[in-house]
Amino acid sequence: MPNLMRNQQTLPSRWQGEHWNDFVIALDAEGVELRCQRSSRELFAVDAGGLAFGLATGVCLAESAQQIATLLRIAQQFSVPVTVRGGGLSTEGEAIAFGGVLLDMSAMQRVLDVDVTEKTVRVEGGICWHTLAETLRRYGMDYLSAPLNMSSTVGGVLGVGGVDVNSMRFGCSADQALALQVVTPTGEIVECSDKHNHELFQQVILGYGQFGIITEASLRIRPFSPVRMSYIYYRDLPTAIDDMQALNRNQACDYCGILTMMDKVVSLLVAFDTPQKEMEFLQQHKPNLQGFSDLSLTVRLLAYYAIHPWRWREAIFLAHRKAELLPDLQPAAYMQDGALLDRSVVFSRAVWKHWGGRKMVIPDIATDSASFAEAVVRGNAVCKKHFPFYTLYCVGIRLRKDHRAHYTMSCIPPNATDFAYGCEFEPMLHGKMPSRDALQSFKNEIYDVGLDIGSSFYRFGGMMKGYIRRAFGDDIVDQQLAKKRTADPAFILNRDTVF
Amino acid sequence: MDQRQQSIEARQLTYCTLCGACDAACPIGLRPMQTILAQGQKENMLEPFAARAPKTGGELLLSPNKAVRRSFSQSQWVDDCGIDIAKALANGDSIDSQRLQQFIAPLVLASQIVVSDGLLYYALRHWLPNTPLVTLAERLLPKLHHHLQAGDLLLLDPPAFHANYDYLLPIVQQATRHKGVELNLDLQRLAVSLRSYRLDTKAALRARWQWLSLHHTINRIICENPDETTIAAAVSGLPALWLGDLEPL
Repeated sequence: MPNLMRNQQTLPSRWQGEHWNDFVIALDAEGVELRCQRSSRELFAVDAGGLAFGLATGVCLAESAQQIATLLRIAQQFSVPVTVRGGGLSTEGEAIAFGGVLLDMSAMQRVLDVDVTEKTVRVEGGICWHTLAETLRRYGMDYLSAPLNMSSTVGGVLGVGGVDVNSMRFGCSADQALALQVVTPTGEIVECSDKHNHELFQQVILGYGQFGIITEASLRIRPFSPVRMSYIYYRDLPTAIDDMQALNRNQACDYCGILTMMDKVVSLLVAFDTPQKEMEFLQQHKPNLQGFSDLSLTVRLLAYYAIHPWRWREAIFLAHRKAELLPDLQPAAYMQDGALLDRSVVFSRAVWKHWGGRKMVIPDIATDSASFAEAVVRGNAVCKKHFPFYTLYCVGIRLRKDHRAHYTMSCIPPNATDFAYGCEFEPMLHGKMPSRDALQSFKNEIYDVGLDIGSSFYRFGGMMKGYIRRAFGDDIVDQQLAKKRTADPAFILNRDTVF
Repeated sequence: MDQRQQSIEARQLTYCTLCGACDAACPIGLRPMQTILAQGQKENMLEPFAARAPKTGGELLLSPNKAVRRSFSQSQWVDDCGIDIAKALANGDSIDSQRLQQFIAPLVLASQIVVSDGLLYYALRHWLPNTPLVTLAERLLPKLHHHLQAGDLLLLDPPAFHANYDYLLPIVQQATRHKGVELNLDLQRLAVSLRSYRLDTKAALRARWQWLSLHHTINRIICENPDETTIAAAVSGLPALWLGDLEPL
């Protein structure tokens, strides 16, 4: 019972609306519009996780850094909480306002400048990765790495991480930021980078929105290239992880990740930007891998289910899943000469079609290289205990030594050195809707595995914030909390998300 | 303040270009366009209208445009092209059920109907689920695609293209492959509108054209929808012609 009590997650209490009318009048005098009709507020009542619900007292549509600065300055004055929302793809209620102002960033979505020579782009913080990709393609360019779900926004992702199957080469999305324009919680508009106002830059990058709102960002970009992709199959997780880590250490491919159907089919995705890189992989690295081909996998599965006939439901699921999923990962409209164009669009659509749903339940664990296999195996056991069908998604993240300061109290585990590894555990609910408590219990068990191993988490905010002190320790959390109190005296910005 | 909010929200309804991309883009098969079109209707207007019936008629053409009509035999022309119904769909006005019956009745027996208006095509696919409907691009591209050339922008009619997206996308891609022809498709292979079916301002048209032409070399615009040629020529300053005028059928 004590353990159950400790793990009980709750929504934040609703802000009671002190000084709201005075706040609205002050904003109106400064020309900042709030939408207070219920229909406007209800649009933002839930996030992608679908487990948390809350209504803002008013909604503000972001238009400019100056408007946001005014909003935050007056919010400080009246102690009104402001919750910032980009694509609304949080899973633990981080993008939901439980009273106060909900600041919707999605209208700030312009690409301000593309510099093909310097390979940089300047964008507004509310732009989603898909819109950015659209514009960059007109210049023959692409971003370096972005989350598979492309309706997330640049500003939101820079605040939490962002991993892609090429993060083993380029690092997480937050590592691609060169400079930011930030509106601080007290309403100053500040330009920052690793060289200029570097402390603010370090706090905002991977800062879970605690130290400022990203209104503009400069990112590194690269020339666009189609992707040549193939899969290597495994029947057990540790072997696949072993191979993935070896490939990452040797930078043997341009993209690498593990995608599973339960623990019965473990696929290691490898992909390449150039035929030369693919050839090098085939000659130097593939012979050392322990996986096997699609045909060999099919034979092994047939043999397995022939002697385990009572698992026929599982066999049918695997067959259906393969038949549905594989065509969507290489659709004809996106293939050219054996290479996949616009992989990000293809993956993003596949994510929504095959992994999406009204409730997105994807607890995760992020570890150093040494602990990763153990974390995945133990997390897999938790999945198996709770759900008949589930999937795991594992990727490596190359760390930048010069960004150590960015990684403080973030999804990057403190003990990770060259690479960090992340695994998402996602039940496949197939229209069934377990209770919120059942789903929360599952998430807690996954997080408990992470705590036991000494890992970090990608989604430690919102309803999971009870884990923060246990994951990072009191010293680090208190240091960050002190910085937060200095930067945000009335504690208005994204209150209850982390602290 | 409430009045100001209401006027903003009313304005936002007109921001929807009725391109129908939401239907084609949704990975889990939601159909938001149906809801958008049903705004202002008393009943569920996209219910199937006619039961299965023998197809004793030939191919019919549903287009009031003279250029389009000239490209087809006179016997194929349908007198009642449903202009008022297409307009009501675009404006979100209520459609009288008797008028709709009157419009649909002669179409039920057709073996195939060529529809030039994208919104009408979208709605007819719901009203006549058992009647083969084709868009102008679907009908004309297989015969005319060899007249397309590098520097052409083929402007697909978004609602028509998205209404039968999975079928039409390969046809369009096949017809334009390796020709250097630009399409008004984005990275999701969804058609980007030049013209909105609802309120359009010059600034909005210019912005859409700027986006469509950004970093593309375009010498000529080929429009699937004949009603779009004048607008396309005016906003771009380039020659614009209807797809069927590439060469007579």
